Amino acid sequence: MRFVEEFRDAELGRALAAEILSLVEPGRHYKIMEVCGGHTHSIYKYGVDDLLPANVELVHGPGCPVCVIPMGRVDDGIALARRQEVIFTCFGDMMRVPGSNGSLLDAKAAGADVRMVYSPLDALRLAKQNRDREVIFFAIGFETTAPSTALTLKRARAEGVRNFSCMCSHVTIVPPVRALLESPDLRLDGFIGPGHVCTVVGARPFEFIPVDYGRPVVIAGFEPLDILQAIAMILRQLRDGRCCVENEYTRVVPYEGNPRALQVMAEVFELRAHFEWRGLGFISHSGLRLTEAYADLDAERRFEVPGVRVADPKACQCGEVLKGVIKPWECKVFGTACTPERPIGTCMVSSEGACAAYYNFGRFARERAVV
Amino acid sequence: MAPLDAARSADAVRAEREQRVLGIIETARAKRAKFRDEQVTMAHGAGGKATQSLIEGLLVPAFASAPLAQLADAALLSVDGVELAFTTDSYVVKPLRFPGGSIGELAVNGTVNDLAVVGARPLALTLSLVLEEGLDAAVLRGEVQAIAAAARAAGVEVVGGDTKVVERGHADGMYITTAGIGKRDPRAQLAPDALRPGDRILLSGPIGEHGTAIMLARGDFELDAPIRSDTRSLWPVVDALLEAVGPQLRCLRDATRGGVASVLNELARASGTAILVREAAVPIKAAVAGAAELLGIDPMYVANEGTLVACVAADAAERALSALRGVDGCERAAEIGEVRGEPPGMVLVQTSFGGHRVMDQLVGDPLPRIC
Amino acid sequence: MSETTVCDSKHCVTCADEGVPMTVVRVDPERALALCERGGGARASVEIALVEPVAPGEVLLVHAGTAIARLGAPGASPAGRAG
Repeated sequence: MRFVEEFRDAELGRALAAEILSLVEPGRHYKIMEVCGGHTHSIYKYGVDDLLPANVELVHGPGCPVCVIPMGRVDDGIALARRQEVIFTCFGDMMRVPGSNGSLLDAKAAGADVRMVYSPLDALRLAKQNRDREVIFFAIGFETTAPSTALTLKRARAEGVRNFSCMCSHVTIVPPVRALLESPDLRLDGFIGPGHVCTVVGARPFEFIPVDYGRPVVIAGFEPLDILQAIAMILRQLRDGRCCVENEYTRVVPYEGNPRALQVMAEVFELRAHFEWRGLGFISHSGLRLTEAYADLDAERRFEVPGVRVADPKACQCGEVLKGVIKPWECKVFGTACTPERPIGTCMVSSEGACAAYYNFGRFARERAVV
Repeated sequence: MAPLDAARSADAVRAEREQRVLGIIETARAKRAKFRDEQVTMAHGAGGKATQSLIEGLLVPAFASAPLAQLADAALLSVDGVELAFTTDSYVVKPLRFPGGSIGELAVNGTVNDLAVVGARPLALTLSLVLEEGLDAAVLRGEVQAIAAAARAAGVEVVGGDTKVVERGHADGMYITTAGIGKRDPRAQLAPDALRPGDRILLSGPIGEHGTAIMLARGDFELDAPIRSDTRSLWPVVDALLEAVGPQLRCLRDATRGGVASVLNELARASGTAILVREAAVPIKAAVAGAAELLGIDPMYVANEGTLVACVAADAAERALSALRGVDGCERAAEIGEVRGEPPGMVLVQTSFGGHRVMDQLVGDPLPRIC
Repeated sequence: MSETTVCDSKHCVTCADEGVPMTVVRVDPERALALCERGGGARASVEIALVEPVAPGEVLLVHAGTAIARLGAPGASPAGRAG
């Protein structure tokens, strides 16, 4: 497709790499965080790292809405899935996230009816096809995905589907970023903003980063050229002493976001007082739940869930990796007790988690020029 | 020590520590896999790490057989000076019929291909049918005819078999197990550890068709694409390669469960070499690429049922490729990579964008019950 | 009867915050859905409430079965990069 091919052009990539080289201050080390799992994935998939000088280090942030789901919540999902009448549906990686006693995948092996779907519409269709069962959709994701869930719930109501409900575990992106910035051991110079979240919420919610914390933000698309361009824009701001939110992804992201998406989210969801993030602890106003008006479609109200809080394992250093304080390989359990097959924490659970991405893609380190 | 030296030295220490961690991972990976799981999961059937742990950790040690330990697609046995190849397979594909083929056809072609890729001319096979009570006779008749047609097309005889019936609710319609026997072709000198740095990797055709066709045929998702399974006998392909380059053919593999990525990982591990794949050179049909993108799967890990990977000496590569392209259905055969000395046991991808990444072994189960 | 799949493909739609450009083939106003196509004939049903009205031929950015933005009419050049 036109849009995609243009943006993957290797020639342009090399030109941008040269530009980045010219913008780097000799001897200075830059740490740039990409907040979004999609950027982590692209960076590794295309080997974008290879085109950067060693001075520019990319730090992978908490952009994984699946792996930040704490163990207690996974246990809640498993409890629901084990019910005879339930068909429990969720997205891909969610199935491997460890609870305190195994994952949804393990529960499936033990007989629970857990099924993977690609969109909440698939789950709704399952409900229509299986009227004698209760279909629960485990809703996860940032603001990019929340509107999709909201629209499906509205659809369920409009079409009178009674055997469908949602276990809402959506999270919002600004609170964890703010929590990171509040951290005293933070060492970041700039942020690559999440292109698709911003398609929904717009660029405005990220203004607080330059205004309150003095770091530049460039909202980027997901093609490798988008990411390189965004890095160049961040470095240029740093060189020029500017600090603001810029939009590299103008072809998709409007400053004000998508008003209809925001409206449907406001209608169906409200913020929880606080929500626990695996690796980052409790963050206030960071999780979504269904409003009173949609209580009848709320799985947590329709069914009993244990709701037990389970602490992160002591050995887990995900919090430090997420803040960019340590690299994946510096975690004491990386590659030994914590591997993609047997993940302990957030960063290894999802393929887009910093540790999993490094383990799967980045182990073969290439020599890069130091400026 | 001058500050600059101190800084460089600190960098060197960090780099050393990183290498040590990576070294630990590599040692762990190189160790014989152990089978420690408490129950069997779908991952054990996927063709990736879990399958490997089952085979290498449980089955191989239990049966203590030299041919078995080779873990080739078929066992090579010498019987009174006659070199035979012997293989077995099971087919549990769901649904039984799918665009491009059916379980019966898969059973014949899959068995024939296991023999072909160890350099043996397929001669005969036996079939065991496990049928579910209530299976429609028309379906059974259809499969029997498909088996007969596929056997004729592949030039093999069905010389024996067995039939069992199990109660409703088991065997999902039909399971088929085969055993196949062939005679080693004198032109073939194949071994997975025969790979040498400088050798070239060839692919006989576009990837990902079978697995994607199955996934779509299950109809679980609102997704539709004109993709057909590539199931076919590979003996004509092997015959052509043996004729063209004989002893310079190092190894052949049928890229079934786990796809091309899994096969390349197996070859790299078995030979202690590295394999570099050029992403842009891998042939793939637009429909498969599109569907895979929508489903969020990587075509390199998707099963094929009529596509092989060949490793040839560098100076035989062009002749081999010519020979491949002359076979019906292999017009899009391509050279996709080469063998290197370092880093041993690893598969690297040179991305279309010019960067690099590691292409690791499969962990979970992308597409269960595809063959 | 055993059912659907586990997909561990080293890629997760939600985490990757994936957005796939797709072309509208047909609009189903009654169901408020559009049949959209990704290169090579791969087609899926897409929720369009966030971007409608849409017309056949338009390119939409689709995430987890929902269109979250329009990418423009065919032949339109992507907006220039800022900065």
